[in-house]
Amino acid sequence: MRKLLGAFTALVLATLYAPIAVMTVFSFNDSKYSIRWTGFTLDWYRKLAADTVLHDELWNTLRLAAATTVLATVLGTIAALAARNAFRGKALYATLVALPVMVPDIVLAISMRSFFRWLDVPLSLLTAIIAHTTFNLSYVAIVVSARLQGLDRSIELAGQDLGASPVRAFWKVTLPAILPGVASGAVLAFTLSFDDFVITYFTVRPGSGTLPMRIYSMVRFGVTPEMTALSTVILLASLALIVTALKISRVPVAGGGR
Amino acid sequence: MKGRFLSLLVPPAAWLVIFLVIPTAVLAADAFSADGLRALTDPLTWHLFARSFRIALVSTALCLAVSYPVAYFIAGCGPRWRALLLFLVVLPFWTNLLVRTYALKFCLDPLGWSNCESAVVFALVQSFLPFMILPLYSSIEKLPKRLLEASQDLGASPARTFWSVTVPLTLPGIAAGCILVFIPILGIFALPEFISERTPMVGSQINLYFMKGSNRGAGSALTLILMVLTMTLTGLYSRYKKSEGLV
Amino acid sequence: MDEFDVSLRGVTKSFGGRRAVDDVTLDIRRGEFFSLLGPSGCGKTTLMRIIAGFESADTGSLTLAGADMAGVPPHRRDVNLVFQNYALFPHLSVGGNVAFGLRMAKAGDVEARVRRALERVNLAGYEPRAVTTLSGGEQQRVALARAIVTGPRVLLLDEPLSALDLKLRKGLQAELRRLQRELGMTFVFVTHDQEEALAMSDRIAVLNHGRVEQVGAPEDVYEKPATRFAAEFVGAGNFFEGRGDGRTFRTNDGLSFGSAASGEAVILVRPEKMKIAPGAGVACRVEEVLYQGASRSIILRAGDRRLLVEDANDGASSRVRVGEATAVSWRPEDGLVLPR
Repeated sequence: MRKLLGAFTALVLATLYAPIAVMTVFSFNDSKYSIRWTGFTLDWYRKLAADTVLHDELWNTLRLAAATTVLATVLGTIAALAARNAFRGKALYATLVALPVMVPDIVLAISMRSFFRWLDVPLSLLTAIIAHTTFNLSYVAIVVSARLQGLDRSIELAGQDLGASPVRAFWKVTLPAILPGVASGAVLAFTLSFDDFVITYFTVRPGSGTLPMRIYSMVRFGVTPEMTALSTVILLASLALIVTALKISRVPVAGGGR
Repeated sequence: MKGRFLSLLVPPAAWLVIFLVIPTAVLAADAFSADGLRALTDPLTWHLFARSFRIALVSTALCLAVSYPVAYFIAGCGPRWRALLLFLVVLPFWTNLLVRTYALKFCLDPLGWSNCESAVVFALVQSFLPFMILPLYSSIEKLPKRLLEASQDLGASPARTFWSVTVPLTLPGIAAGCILVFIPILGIFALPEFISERTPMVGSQINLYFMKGSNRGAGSALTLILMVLTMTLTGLYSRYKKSEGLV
Repeated sequence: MDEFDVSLRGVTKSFGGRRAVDDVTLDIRRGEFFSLLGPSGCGKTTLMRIIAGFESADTGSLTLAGADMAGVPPHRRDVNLVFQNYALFPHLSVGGNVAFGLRMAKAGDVEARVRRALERVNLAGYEPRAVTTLSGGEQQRVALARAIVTGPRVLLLDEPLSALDLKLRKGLQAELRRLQRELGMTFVFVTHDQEEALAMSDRIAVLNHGRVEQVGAPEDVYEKPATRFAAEFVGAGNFFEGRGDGRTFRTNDGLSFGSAASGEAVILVRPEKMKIAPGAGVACRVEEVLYQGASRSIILRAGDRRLLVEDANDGASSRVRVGEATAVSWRPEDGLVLPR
């Protein structure tokens, strides 16, 4: 029975990775119209390297992800810490913080777009940053909350018993203890922002696009070979990022949630 | 101490009120405009929702059917294999959905499998596997082996043990996975557009209204319906979780 | 052959190079209360799991009521197991748990049989209760009811009382014994508590490192231990190594007393068989007196060694004081000669 399950699992993983593998291989294909293999080439990668608009978009994506990560991590961690204690209206507060995760991202995207239009604020990278921070805040809060739940509060008391004031106990005991959770949340926020398409698409100025937006337009308006090269680069970069993140911070991969 | 604690609450709460609650109000206002109300009574709207619902339901069910055996298998492996397999399962989650969808399209197009609902479903099932496998795995892994032994000891064959003991006790994981998959699929936008232009879903219609048709009212109406629908579902799920007492 | 419900022949089981069960041969009679007794790691749990069908023996055979169990999965064996931590199904009520086996066998009259089983374990009316609301003792009894309701040939009990406090344990010991007699079922009881095994069993198998040290009725195991290990594990004892000439025994550390043993031997004297009285016997000094209500444990020092004496608190025995110089003696026939 286990053999059967094992074979099935292998099959599922294969279908999961096959498209990626195939596409990666074909990114080196010397033919404009995919399917048939006509020879090895790095042309498409060269085209990518020469594409200055793409570089701008990459830079935009990075700026967006970085800014929102910082904001969301701080706000999300605070939200999680505040929610530790019981207080009046805690249920409402918890629902509010969880809201962005409860709805599809297009709902958030449209709400934010309408909000900025109503305020007559022109769309830009800044409006995108605000939108991203809103949903990332939730994710960070969830991850840090989970970490806080597993934390034994008596260590804070022990810190106080040994002479630290409540504030110092927090800085010297609690914060270091939840740091892995905060780091997890930050990595999650960065990745979600970097890969995000829908929210960015609706809250950013048409000119200052991001990488995912470029991918979207490239696919919608014709499959070009540069796409395969770009996709491969993004995939390999993500891979490198995750592996590094794992190596340096021992972040548990399976704790991300969504 | 109380004062400091309260001041902690304020920044995130303020942010969410300004950038979540108020935008929702604006959305609702836009939805109840003339355009929006017209869209509410438009049969196309409900046709779209029906289709999106159908696709989401089928995709979630298939995703569950595929994920359960995989999660079950991984849960029964030794620690090293488990870590490796989970890593492999989760890795795609960390990469760009658009890129993965494109890669899938790249492979499906030459096979002629595009521009139909089944291709969209296949792409969705494949894309959301990590979201289903992880909560399932978590639930299955927590199942005490002794219970399965007790069941067999009392005369239940392995198959009956699976249906009478394993499935009921992993229901929380099943529910969590289904919610994590169903809700995003309901509002999904780029993926179905990539794979099949003939199967528009709610998301692509919203895009159409906003970007192409400049019909803010209709777009907002659809978005509002989507929001109410998904919040209701999440609410029901929360109620279910509470009643279960998190078994 | 038909009088034996469980027969093991040359059963061996290893886990990664370590022999958990080593060439075990045992017969358990129908209607017997049989205990597998030994310290942790002695193989008793593995043996039990082999009988239940969760492990298969590497070599040897297992027959239940004359039928060879090789290749027979657990759900087709007429054996039920009461798990150490009860293993009750959390998603079923008490009634649902007890009915489980009956439903699997598609038996009739489920409600009545469940009711009777619960009555037997003094849990009448508990059917609708949720298992998570029960105390440890109650959960124990539900697990018991669940296992007996289907009327299996053999009931395996895996240290069922170890998680309970002392008073509860003593009470349940008596209840289990009564239940077994009423049902006439064969009980195979796994425990590391030798007092429990002595109190409840018809016969005991003492196990150590996967091997059977001795099989016998409680009195035989206690009064006539077959090996040093059995002697040490079951009950307390004073062990003397030395040499005897048929009339006097001289220990290696210089003590001497009367004994029929000749040649090199190990002599065991149980603490309750020793008497303290100044004068004749082995000279010693009282080191410690431990009052235990119904009896006193007295530790004495003789030369380099300590002696343990159990004195019943019946008013007749002398009250010794710590530091007193006195002597212990016993009847020569109470000195058991152990095989080397």
